[in-house]
Amino acid sequence: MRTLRTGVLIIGSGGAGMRAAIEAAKHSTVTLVSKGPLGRSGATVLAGADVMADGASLRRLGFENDGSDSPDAWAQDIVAEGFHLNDERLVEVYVEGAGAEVGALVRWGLSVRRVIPRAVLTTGVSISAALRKGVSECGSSISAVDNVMVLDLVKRDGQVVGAVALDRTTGDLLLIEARATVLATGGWHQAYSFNAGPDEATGDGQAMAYRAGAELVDMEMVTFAPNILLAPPRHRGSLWFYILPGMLLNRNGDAFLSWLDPRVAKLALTTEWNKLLVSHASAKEVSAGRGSPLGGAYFSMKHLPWNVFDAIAAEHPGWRFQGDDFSHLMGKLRDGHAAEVGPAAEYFEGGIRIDERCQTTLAGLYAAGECTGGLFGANRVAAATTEMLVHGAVAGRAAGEAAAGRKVPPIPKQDAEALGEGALAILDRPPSIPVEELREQLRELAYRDVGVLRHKESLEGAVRSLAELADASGTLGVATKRKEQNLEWSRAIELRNMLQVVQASALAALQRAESRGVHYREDCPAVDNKRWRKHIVVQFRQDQPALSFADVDSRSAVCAEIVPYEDAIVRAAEALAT
Amino acid sequence: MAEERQVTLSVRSWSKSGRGPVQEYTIPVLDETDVLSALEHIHAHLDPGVAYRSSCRRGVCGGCRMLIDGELRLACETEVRDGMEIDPYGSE
Repeated sequence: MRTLRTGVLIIGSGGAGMRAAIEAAKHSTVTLVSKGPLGRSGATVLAGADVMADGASLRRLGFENDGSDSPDAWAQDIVAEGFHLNDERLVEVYVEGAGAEVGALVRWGLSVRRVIPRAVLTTGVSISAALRKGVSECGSSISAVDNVMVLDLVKRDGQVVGAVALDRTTGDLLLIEARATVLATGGWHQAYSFNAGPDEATGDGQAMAYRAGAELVDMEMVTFAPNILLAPPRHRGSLWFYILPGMLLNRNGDAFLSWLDPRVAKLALTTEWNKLLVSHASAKEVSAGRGSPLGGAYFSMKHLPWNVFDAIAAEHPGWRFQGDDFSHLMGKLRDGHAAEVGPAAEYFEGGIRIDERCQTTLAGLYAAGECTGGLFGANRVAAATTEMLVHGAVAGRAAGEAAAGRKVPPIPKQDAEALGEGALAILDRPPSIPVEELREQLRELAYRDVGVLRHKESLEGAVRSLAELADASGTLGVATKRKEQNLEWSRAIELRNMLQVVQASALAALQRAESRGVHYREDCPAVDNKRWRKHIVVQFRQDQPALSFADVDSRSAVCAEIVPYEDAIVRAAEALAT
Repeated sequence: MAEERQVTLSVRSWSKSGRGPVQEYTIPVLDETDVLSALEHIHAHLDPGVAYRSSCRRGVCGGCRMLIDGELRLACETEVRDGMEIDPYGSE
């Protein structure tokens, strides 16, 4: 097995990984490993995108602002939005670090389109380009490899000392010895049959941390973004309609958002609470048998007068959004047709448990960005771009410093080979049930039963089915036997990661017998602050998931009472400073 | 809104030399189906040996750049047509 030695190993080359690399390179050599296209991977390029910081910090950076805001006021809002499940040490790190990160991006050439009270508006592509400039300024202290998929972390004496990876170009295994390791692998979008994430988001980091013994936290918390295009195929998963003014109709033609509790209707239509409220409303129509043919809702713009429609068109030259050309579809909408949209898995509040230095519960292992859990509690409204930047900087610094003062003994060859065996066995075994069949079963099950609306019975069914799928995946053998560029083999390896992460998520969702934030249980539709203002922690013990509870690290007091879900949302919104 | 039709695509398979054999696949597609979605369908339902690289599927990351009818194009941004020749690793 080829061996590569480095100071800091960073797994994932999206925004969190690049930011971590820049910071770690001040202290150590860095190797940035990327499964997808280098420096363009992950959800970063797809971000909307706003980068948030409190108003006072933005004003210090020279952006127009009345300056009345503060990191503390912002932190209070984040905790209210998170239904008081946030780890407030992490919230403090986030709000305190945000201003410096906006400043750093601007120095690397971020193009700012507009400034709003708590954010600069830009694009994911511009954020990514700025970070690539930051990485290139570090010169040879950062080396990068792409199309390399990390399989598992290597531990010695309870410490993470590197990883075993698969070079997908050659099909060869690779041992990476590292004095510190940072996971920056993003979410597990692809475990859902309908999602708004990139192809490589398969929960690899969460799963490898979990298998190595690290704690996962808040895994039941998954954000679905509403109004995501179900069709045509070339636009499936795009967030384009999320930013357009449309009217949602069920299959009977009812404008079902008008049925919302009037106290939450305004939030649903005018604020980012729409992610939660509109997703829930759409999913309820589908489960009541009133969904559109593709299992979503109709999105119509027919209520707009033509001159209003054309004014919107003028703001979006050529109907282009990100890299896509929507002119054909928009022509149909102008003619009065409706598109089909639905809620798609978009962001994961839960993930690897970290402390305020982004250290996981394993020595030598750090994590940054969407693969972590705890910062946003039960519901993220504040920017995930800022999360990846602040975490990236903190994790990169901590890992760099740790690597500079640490010696790691060489990894015995047999230890490394043992970690690669599982992947090689998939290639060596005779063809089994097709990988794609199991993958589709998992994705449909996750979307249906661990999705927008949850219920005790369906979650119990999901837990049972997931155990069966895990058994079946344990004896997977692929039909394609070449080592090089073997997509079937990669997917089989990713399947194990997605299964373990969805299993953790389903178990936590079943355990949490209340509704809180994005976790909505139809069988218990109230926020239960008496029993459930606590984290659910999932750990891998004797090859099985084990659940435990952890107190919320908080300075804010919450009355220990049970509040109907809608009332809790109204209260949270009323408590916001902005 | 969506009309289903059949298209036949020629896909060059991966090989060390870069010139693997070409295989034809006939698949059902809807209006506005992109080449990447078509390859996905072939991989999932007809031939798991068909491989390609992809990431964002929205014309942003550039990960699915490949040879389509002899030209380097993004598979996610190219509408599929009957008779297309696709070489997923043809850009390397």
